[in-house]
Amino acid sequence: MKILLSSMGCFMTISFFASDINHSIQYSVATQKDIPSLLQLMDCARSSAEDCKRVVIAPAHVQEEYLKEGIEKQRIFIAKDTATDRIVG
Amino acid sequence: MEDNTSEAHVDSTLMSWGPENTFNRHLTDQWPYAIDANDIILYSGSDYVLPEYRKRGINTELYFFALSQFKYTIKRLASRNTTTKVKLLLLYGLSALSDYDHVGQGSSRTPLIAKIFYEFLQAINIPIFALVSHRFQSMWPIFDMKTSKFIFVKNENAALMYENVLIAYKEIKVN
Repeated sequence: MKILLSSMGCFMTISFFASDINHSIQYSVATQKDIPSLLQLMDCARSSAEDCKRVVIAPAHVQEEYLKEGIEKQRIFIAKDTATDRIVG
Repeated sequence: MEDNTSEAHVDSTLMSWGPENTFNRHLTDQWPYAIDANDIILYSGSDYVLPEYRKRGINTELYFFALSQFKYTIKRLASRNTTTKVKLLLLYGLSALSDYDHVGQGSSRTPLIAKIFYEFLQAINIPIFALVSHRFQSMWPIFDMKTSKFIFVKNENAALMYENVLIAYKEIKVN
Protein backbone atom coordinates (compact mmCIF):
# COMPACT_ATOMS: atom_id res chain seq x y z
CA MET A 1 0.00 0.00 0.00
CA LYS A 2 1.44 3.35 -1.00
CA ILE A 3 0.41 6.67 0.39
CA LEU A 4 1.33 10.08 -0.80
CA LEU A 5 2.20 12.20 2.15
CA SER A 6 -0.77 14.37 1.77
CA SER A 7 -3.68 12.74 0.03
CA MET A 8 -6.92 12.39 1.93
CA GLY A 9 -5.92 15.33 4.03
CA CYS A 10 -8.39 17.25 1.94
CA PHE A 11 -11.19 15.77 3.97
CA MET A 12 -9.80 17.11 7.17
CA THR A 13 -10.02 20.68 8.24
CA ILE A 14 -8.02 20.26 11.39
CA SER A 15 -5.72 23.15 12.05
CA PHE A 16 -3.61 23.83 15.04
CA PHE A 17 -1.69 26.80 16.25
CA ALA A 18 1.79 27.27 17.60
CA SER A 19 2.44 30.63 19.16
CA ASP A 20 5.69 32.42 19.53
CA ILE A 21 6.51 35.88 20.72
CA ASN A 22 5.48 37.69 17.58
CA HIS A 23 3.29 35.42 15.56
CA SER A 24 0.68 32.72 15.59
CA ILE A 25 1.24 30.09 12.99
CA GLN A 26 -1.65 28.07 11.67
CA TYR A 27 -1.04 24.71 10.00
CA SER A 28 -3.55 23.42 7.48
CA VAL A 29 -4.13 21.73 4.14
CA ALA A 30 -3.86 24.06 1.15
CA THR A 31 -7.07 24.99 -0.61
CA GLN A 32 -7.80 26.57 -3.98
CA LYS A 33 -7.59 30.08 -2.56
CA ASP A 34 -4.06 29.39 -1.35
CA ILE A 35 -2.68 28.71 -4.84
CA PRO A 36 -1.55 32.29 -5.68
CA SER A 37 0.22 32.57 -2.33
CA LEU A 38 1.82 29.15 -2.82
CA LEU A 39 3.19 30.17 -6.20
CA GLN A 40 4.62 33.30 -4.59
CA LEU A 41 6.34 31.11 -2.01
CA MET A 42 7.88 29.00 -4.79
CA ASP A 43 9.05 32.14 -6.58
CA CYS A 44 10.62 33.32 -3.33
CA ALA A 45 12.59 30.09 -3.02
CA ARG A 46 13.71 30.29 -6.64
CA SER A 47 14.75 33.91 -6.35
CA SER A 48 17.23 33.07 -3.63
CA ALA A 49 20.37 31.49 -5.02
CA GLU A 50 21.19 29.90 -1.68
CA ASP A 51 17.69 28.53 -1.14
CA CYS A 52 17.62 27.14 -4.65
CA LYS A 53 20.68 25.13 -3.78
CA ARG A 54 19.21 23.87 -0.55
CA VAL A 55 15.60 23.14 -1.48
CA VAL A 56 14.61 20.47 -3.93
CA ILE A 57 11.91 22.10 -5.98
CA ALA A 58 10.12 20.50 -8.86
CA PRO A 59 10.15 22.53 -12.06
CA ALA A 60 7.50 25.24 -12.06
CA HIS A 61 5.54 23.73 -14.92
CA VAL A 62 5.31 20.44 -13.02
CA GLN A 63 4.07 22.00 -9.82
CA GLU A 64 1.66 24.30 -11.61
CA GLU A 65 0.31 21.43 -13.66
CA TYR A 66 -0.55 19.55 -10.50
CA LEU A 67 -2.02 22.65 -8.96
CA LYS A 68 -4.21 23.19 -11.99
CA GLU A 69 -5.29 19.58 -11.96
CA GLY A 70 -6.51 20.15 -8.44
CA ILE A 71 -4.57 17.15 -7.21
CA GLU A 72 -1.51 18.47 -5.57
CA LYS A 73 -3.08 21.25 -3.59
CA GLN A 74 -4.92 18.66 -1.57
CA ARG A 75 -1.53 17.27 -0.63
CA ILE A 76 0.21 20.49 0.22
CA PHE A 77 0.45 21.49 3.83
CA ILE A 78 0.93 25.10 4.69
CA ALA A 79 2.00 27.22 7.62
CA LYS A 80 0.25 30.55 7.66
CA ASP A 81 1.00 33.60 9.74
CA THR A 82 -2.43 34.45 11.09
CA ALA A 83 -1.44 38.05 11.72
CA THR A 84 -0.80 38.67 8.03
CA ASP A 85 -2.68 35.74 6.47
CA ARG A 86 0.52 35.01 4.56
CA ILE A 87 1.79 31.53 3.79
CA VAL A 88 5.23 31.35 5.35
CA GLY A 89 6.04 27.67 4.88
CA MET B 1 13.57 -2.62 -8.58
CA GLU B 2 16.03 -2.22 -11.43
CA ASP B 3 19.39 -3.98 -11.55
CA ASN B 4 21.50 -0.84 -11.54
CA THR B 5 20.17 0.49 -8.25
CA SER B 6 23.14 -0.91 -6.35
CA GLU B 7 25.39 1.39 -8.38
CA ALA B 8 23.17 4.32 -7.52
CA HIS B 9 23.20 3.48 -3.84
CA VAL B 10 25.45 5.79 -1.82
CA ASP B 11 25.27 4.53 1.73
CA SER B 12 23.10 2.99 4.41
CA THR B 13 22.99 4.09 8.01
CA LEU B 14 21.42 2.61 11.10
CA MET B 15 20.04 5.50 13.14
CA SER B 16 19.41 5.73 16.85
CA TRP B 17 19.06 8.21 19.66
CA GLY B 18 20.83 7.98 22.94
CA PRO B 19 20.38 9.72 26.29
CA GLU B 20 19.42 13.38 26.08
CA ASN B 21 18.51 12.93 22.43
CA THR B 22 22.05 12.38 21.22
CA PHE B 23 21.90 11.17 17.65
CA ASN B 24 23.93 8.19 16.46
CA ARG B 25 24.67 6.96 12.94
CA HIS B 26 26.24 3.62 12.20
CA LEU B 27 27.11 2.62 8.67
CA THR B 28 25.47 -0.66 7.86
CA ASP B 29 25.55 -3.14 5.00
CA GLN B 30 21.81 -3.63 5.31
CA TRP B 31 21.24 -3.61 1.58
CA PRO B 32 19.52 -4.47 -0.63
CA TYR B 33 16.08 -4.34 0.88
CA ALA B 34 12.95 -5.74 -0.64
CA ILE B 35 9.72 -3.84 -0.93
CA ASP B 36 6.83 -5.96 0.21
CA ALA B 37 3.18 -5.54 -0.70
CA ASN B 38 2.41 -4.86 2.95
CA ASP B 39 4.91 -2.04 3.22
CA ILE B 40 3.70 1.51 3.62
CA ILE B 41 5.42 4.12 1.51
CA LEU B 42 5.14 7.84 2.13
CA TYR B 43 6.59 10.29 -0.33
CA SER B 44 7.43 13.80 0.75
CA GLY B 45 7.98 16.52 -1.81
CA SER B 46 9.89 19.71 -1.19
CA ASP B 47 9.48 21.95 1.82
CA TYR B 48 10.32 25.57 2.29
CA VAL B 49 10.04 28.22 5.01
CA LEU B 50 10.56 31.93 4.37
CA PRO B 51 13.98 33.03 5.66
CA GLU B 52 12.54 35.48 8.19
CA TYR B 53 10.42 32.73 9.75
CA ARG B 54 13.16 30.15 10.21
CA LYS B 55 14.59 28.78 13.45
CA ARG B 56 11.11 28.67 15.03
CA GLY B 57 10.41 25.01 14.42
CA ILE B 58 7.84 25.78 11.73
CA ASN B 59 9.13 23.10 9.36
CA THR B 60 9.17 20.53 12.14
CA GLU B 61 5.59 21.36 13.10
CA LEU B 62 4.53 21.33 9.46
CA TYR B 63 6.08 17.91 8.87
CA PHE B 64 4.40 16.55 11.96
CA PHE B 65 1.09 18.07 10.90
CA ALA B 66 1.40 16.51 7.43
CA LEU B 67 2.15 13.08 8.86
CA SER B 68 -0.69 13.44 11.32
CA GLN B 69 -3.17 13.74 8.47
CA PHE B 70 -2.51 10.07 7.74
CA LYS B 71 -2.23 8.69 11.21
CA TYR B 72 -5.42 6.63 11.11
CA THR B 73 -4.62 5.20 7.68
CA ILE B 74 -1.02 4.41 8.61
CA LYS B 75 -2.00 2.85 11.90
CA ARG B 76 -4.65 0.70 10.26
CA LEU B 77 -2.29 -0.49 7.52
CA ALA B 78 0.58 -1.09 9.92
CA SER B 79 -1.62 -3.10 12.26
CA ARG B 80 -3.40 -5.30 9.76
CA ASN B 81 -0.76 -8.02 9.59
CA THR B 82 1.53 -8.95 12.44
CA THR B 83 2.97 -12.07 10.84
CA THR B 84 5.21 -10.30 8.33
CA LYS B 85 7.74 -7.56 8.83
CA VAL B 86 5.88 -4.45 7.80
CA LYS B 87 8.19 -1.61 6.86
CA LEU B 88 7.24 2.04 6.82
CA LEU B 89 9.20 4.00 4.23
CA LEU B 90 9.55 7.76 4.01
CA LEU B 91 11.05 9.04 0.75
CA TYR B 92 12.38 12.57 0.39
CA GLY B 93 14.93 14.42 -1.68
CA LEU B 94 17.70 16.60 -0.33
CA SER B 95 19.98 18.90 -2.22
CA ALA B 96 23.68 18.08 -1.92
CA LEU B 97 24.14 21.15 0.28
CA SER B 98 21.54 19.88 2.74
CA ASP B 99 22.87 16.34 2.98
CA TYR B 100 26.01 14.49 3.97
CA ASP B 101 28.74 14.42 1.38
CA HIS B 102 29.47 11.37 -0.72
CA VAL B 103 31.44 9.69 2.06
CA GLY B 104 28.88 10.47 4.74
CA GLN B 105 30.68 13.41 6.32
CA GLY B 106 29.29 16.85 7.14
CA SER B 107 25.74 17.67 8.17
CA SER B 108 22.34 16.74 6.87
CA ARG B 109 18.68 17.43 7.44
CA THR B 110 18.13 13.69 7.73
CA PRO B 111 18.55 13.45 11.53
CA LEU B 112 15.76 15.98 12.06
CA ILE B 113 13.48 14.34 9.51
CA ALA B 114 14.23 10.93 11.00
CA LYS B 115 13.46 12.20 14.49
CA ILE B 116 10.13 13.62 13.36
CA PHE B 117 9.27 10.35 11.60
CA TYR B 118 10.28 8.27 14.60
CA GLU B 119 8.43 10.44 17.11
CA PHE B 120 5.36 10.44 14.90
CA LEU B 121 5.32 6.63 14.82
CA GLN B 122 5.81 6.55 18.58
CA ALA B 123 2.94 9.02 19.02
CA ILE B 124 0.54 6.78 17.11
CA ASN B 125 1.74 3.69 18.99
CA ILE B 126 3.56 1.94 16.19
CA PRO B 127 6.56 0.27 17.84
CA ILE B 128 9.76 0.48 15.81
CA PHE B 129 12.85 -1.60 16.41
CA ALA B 130 15.12 -0.05 13.79
CA LEU B 131 15.35 3.03 11.65
CA VAL B 132 17.62 2.81 8.63
CA SER B 133 18.51 5.50 6.11
CA HIS B 134 19.49 4.70 2.52
CA ARG B 135 20.79 7.30 0.09
CA PHE B 136 20.79 7.23 -3.69
CA GLN B 137 22.28 9.48 -6.30
CA SER B 138 22.35 8.46 -9.96
CA MET B 139 19.01 6.65 -9.74
CA TRP B 140 16.21 7.80 -7.47
CA PRO B 141 13.50 5.75 -5.85
CA ILE B 142 10.30 7.73 -6.17
CA PHE B 143 6.61 7.21 -5.78
CA ASP B 144 5.03 7.56 -9.20
CA MET B 145 1.71 9.34 -8.84
CA LYS B 146 0.46 8.23 -12.24
CA THR B 147 1.09 4.52 -11.78
CA SER B 148 0.96 4.41 -7.96
CA LYS B 149 4.15 2.38 -7.99
CA PHE B 150 7.51 2.65 -6.31
CA ILE B 151 10.00 3.07 -9.17
CA PHE B 152 13.58 4.07 -9.85
CA VAL B 153 14.20 6.93 -12.25
CA LYS B 154 17.38 8.49 -13.56
CA ASN B 155 18.47 11.52 -11.54
CA GLU B 156 19.28 14.23 -14.07
CA ASN B 157 20.94 16.32 -11.36
CA ALA B 158 22.96 13.55 -9.76
CA ALA B 159 25.73 15.89 -8.66
CA LEU B 160 23.31 18.22 -6.92
CA MET B 161 20.79 16.03 -5.17
CA TYR B 162 20.34 12.87 -3.17
CA GLU B 163 17.20 10.87 -2.70
CA ASN B 164 16.77 9.48 0.77
CA VAL B 165 14.73 6.55 1.98
CA LEU B 166 14.07 6.23 5.68
CA ILE B 167 12.86 2.78 6.58
CA ALA B 168 11.20 2.17 9.93
CA TYR B 169 11.08 -1.52 10.77
CA LYS B 170 8.00 -2.31 12.77
CA GLU B 171 8.21 -4.61 15.73
CA ILE B 172 6.22 -7.78 15.42
CA LYS B 173 3.77 -8.65 18.13
CA VAL B 174 4.37 -12.03 19.67
CA ASN B 175 1.14 -13.73 20.65
